[in-house]
Amino acid sequence: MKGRRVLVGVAIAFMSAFCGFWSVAHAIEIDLCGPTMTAEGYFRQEFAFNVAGTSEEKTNQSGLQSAYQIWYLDTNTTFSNNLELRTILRLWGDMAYTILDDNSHFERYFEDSKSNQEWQDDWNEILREFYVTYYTQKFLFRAGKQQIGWGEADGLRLMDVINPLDVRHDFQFYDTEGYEEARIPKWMIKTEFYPGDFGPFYDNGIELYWNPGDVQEFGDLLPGYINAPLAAGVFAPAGLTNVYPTDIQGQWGTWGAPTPFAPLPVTLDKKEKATSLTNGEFGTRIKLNFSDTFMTLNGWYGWKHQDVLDYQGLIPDARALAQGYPGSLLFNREWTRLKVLGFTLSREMFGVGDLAGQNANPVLRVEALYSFDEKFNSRGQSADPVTGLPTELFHIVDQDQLRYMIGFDWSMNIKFINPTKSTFVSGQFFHIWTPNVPDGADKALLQLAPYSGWRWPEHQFYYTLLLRTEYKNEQIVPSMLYVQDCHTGAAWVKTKLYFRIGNHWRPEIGYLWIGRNRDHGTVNAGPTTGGPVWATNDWESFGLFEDRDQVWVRIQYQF
Amino acid sequence: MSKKVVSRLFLVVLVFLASTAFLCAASNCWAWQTKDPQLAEEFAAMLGFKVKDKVGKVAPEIKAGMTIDSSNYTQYPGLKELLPDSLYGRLDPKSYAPLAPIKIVDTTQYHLGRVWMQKSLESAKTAKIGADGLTLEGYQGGYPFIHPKNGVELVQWLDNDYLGDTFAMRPMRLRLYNRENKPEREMRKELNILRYVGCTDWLLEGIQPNPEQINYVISGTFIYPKDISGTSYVRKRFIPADKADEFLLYVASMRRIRRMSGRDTQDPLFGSDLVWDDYNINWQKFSTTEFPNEYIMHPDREMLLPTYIDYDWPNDRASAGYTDYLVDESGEQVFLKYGSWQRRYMHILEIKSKDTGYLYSKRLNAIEPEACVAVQSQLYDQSGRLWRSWVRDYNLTQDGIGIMEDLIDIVDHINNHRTILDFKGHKNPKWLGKEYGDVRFLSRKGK
Repeated sequence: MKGRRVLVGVAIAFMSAFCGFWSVAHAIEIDLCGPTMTAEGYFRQEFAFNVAGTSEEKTNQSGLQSAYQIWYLDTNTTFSNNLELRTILRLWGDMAYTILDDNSHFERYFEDSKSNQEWQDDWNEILREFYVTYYTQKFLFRAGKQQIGWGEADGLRLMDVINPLDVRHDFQFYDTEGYEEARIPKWMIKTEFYPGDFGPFYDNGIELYWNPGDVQEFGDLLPGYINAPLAAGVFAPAGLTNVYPTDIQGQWGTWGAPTPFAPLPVTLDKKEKATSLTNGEFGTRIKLNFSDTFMTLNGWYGWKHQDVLDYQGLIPDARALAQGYPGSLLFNREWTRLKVLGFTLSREMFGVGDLAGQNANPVLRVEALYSFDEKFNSRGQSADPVTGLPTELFHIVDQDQLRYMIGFDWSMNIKFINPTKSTFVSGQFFHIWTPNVPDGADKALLQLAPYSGWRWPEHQFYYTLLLRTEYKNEQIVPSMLYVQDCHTGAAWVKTKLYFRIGNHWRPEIGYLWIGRNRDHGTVNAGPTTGGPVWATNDWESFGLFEDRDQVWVRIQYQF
Repeated sequence: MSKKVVSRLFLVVLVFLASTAFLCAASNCWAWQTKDPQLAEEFAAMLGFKVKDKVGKVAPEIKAGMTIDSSNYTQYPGLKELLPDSLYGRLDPKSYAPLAPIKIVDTTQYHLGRVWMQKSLESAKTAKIGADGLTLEGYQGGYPFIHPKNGVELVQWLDNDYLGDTFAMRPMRLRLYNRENKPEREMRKELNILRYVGCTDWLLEGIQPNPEQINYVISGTFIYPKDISGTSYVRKRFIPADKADEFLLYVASMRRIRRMSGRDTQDPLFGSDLVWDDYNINWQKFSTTEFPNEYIMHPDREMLLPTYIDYDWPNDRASAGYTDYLVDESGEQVFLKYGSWQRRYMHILEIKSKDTGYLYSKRLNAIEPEACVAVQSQLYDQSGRLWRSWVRDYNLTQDGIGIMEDLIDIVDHINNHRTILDFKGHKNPKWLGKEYGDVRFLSRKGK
């Protein structure tokens, strides 16, 4: 308790000193005897409260669940009209580990993630971006640790395939602006050439990307060992009542996905890709303008952000044996190649504004990609006829997919929302087509292994709606993003109020609601007869996080 | 007292007086005076008059050397004729955002460059209004019509006002003030303008080839505060009246380029009182179909307006000696102080919207004939209430070649909100090329 007070006190003192120092300064400009460096940044403290109540599976922390603290410094050093160096340093912490250190529920279910989450203080994480840019009228060259935002979609990502998202905070429940904070930067080289106008095309650019093997994962979602048979809940076996598997939460804290049931403990071997030329990634994007249309043609040969589980067999395991199991199921977590071709397009829909009695025209946005031979886990499995032990689980399947989004942005006069200023309305429709998807429960393609209930249908649809407006000279900015998964019925809504107070303070309050999937329920997961009855939960889609509804309060001081 | 002490004291006093004299001289830089008297005469010959010869007829009791402020303005009833309503009302100390004292000086003769003059004379032979009744055809540069005869001819001045061939604001500050006329917040951006056609200063052939038929391009990047820093845009204004602006936006917080509607021009920028269509006093894309207007030319009017100044990068106003042109936030009220005002003879254009869906019902613009720029405006909402008003000075080079915005005072009279635009920058920078006005600019800013 004393330690906590000291720590909070130090944090407040530090923040006061920080704000006091910077309150006299705007964005800083420093003359480095030739080069000029500008510096800007912010300090943020956020408190998020889970309002979903304690879940049956003990996968959440009701009440205060996180207290993110961020220190952010962004510098840009200009050496000449052609040469710049950008450095972004970020330290992310979660004060909940200090504030809740005597909360028994938090300690029991989430404390294991403390070393991973309390302060993300590896230099690789603190040095968030670091790149040098050289440009002329004919080309641009940028090398270093960076993030690249491709695509046009909000709320869901299709073409934004280059940088994976860090799922440790808010999983993937970001509006588009949040992606900037959540993308995991990579060491890459980006070049862009400007060939000039040709034919009907103007303002053209050809981008080439090369990542020399800095493979970043889609969050390290799964721990090395999952004690999955502990899944109990309402159908708990004798002696194991109220024991819940918390392995994933133990890895990633209150935003960890729930640990799914498995009949035996699971060992996961991480097959990390080393930085090497053979593990490189390549991409290109061609930017074209024609007939009032902005278009990009995209190609990417990289690594899929989400690993697949490659079953290796049953192995002896002391931890499993101690609990009376013959061993644990060994999976290799494999990174597989992602090969996509696609395009994005945006065009102002001239004349529509007039027809609808609006000042502005809507802007059409389209994004489409085709993914070749993408690897997925499936429900395919087989067992040894003699021993009955599995010889194959979550069989890996190659599958093509077509994904596209059609949407619009429209600044609309909606008097009942805002009589003095337009409201930004953005709607999107997503379709993911998996041709010839294996049918039947035993072969179905999984959207995210090991969640065996969440399968790819042949046609997966989503739609989204974003509203945003501003009041009082943009000092109050409310927004709402609604995302609906039509296949599973799961949905989420993120509403927030952002305040601009002076030049420095940017508070925000918000509410995130996550709706469960339609077929949600606790199901009997075996074993069959004679033994205890295990139970699991058929989470799908956003429903994985249906117990993470939260309200948050954020205070940010920027300079 | 010893002689030594006296002599030292004398020296100190001398240094003090010399410094004061120097500063006074520096602050008298308001005296915009041509550096090319011959050109000034030829320019006046082209126009057919000098503004300084036209003024002095209205309220002659108000003379150079006087200072008018809230304590004495009621003593000069003729002042009401010299100031538009939006400015006269702000002499009342109880008004929202009252005016700083108005120090009156003699009227100056402004002029633009020789090429501007030559192209004006060429345009005079070829320029005409097209069959649609609005499009300017045969324009070579300079004044679209040296002696506009009606509103449609005069409105061409707004779309082809003098910008120089290029200019670069480093930065443009948008300073916002609340209902109490106290600082609310501030934004800064770097802004670039590149003219493709009708160039008169150093890009004499314009930008060729120009298959898109671009008139000029504006690009910009917000640099402050942090939450909008990096947001960049490129906006193209095309020559054909029926072709809407192209507007590409790089949203730094998304790290993506987004296309925006070229018609989305009626909302204020980031909570300020600056509306896209009001940029540069009037930046609406005049069209016969999209928010069409009626253009009415009123009789020319004598007005009191801020005197232009002249300085260039890397100087700012203060370092160039214009210490009396400033935004004073030190008191209970914020005052925008123009060092001096003078009588000007202005063309008056009324733009009456035919579409009740447009944000303004009418706009009254006062346009300076000697520099082909708009200097003051009053903007009325659809109920006919005075909504916003603008007044500004300019930073015009004294040889007539090169211009930069300086200080602009925008007041929202309905909601009592104020934005002061405060500039520093390069006039006619020669390093500013096409790459500042196309997708390259956004790629470079795309961080």
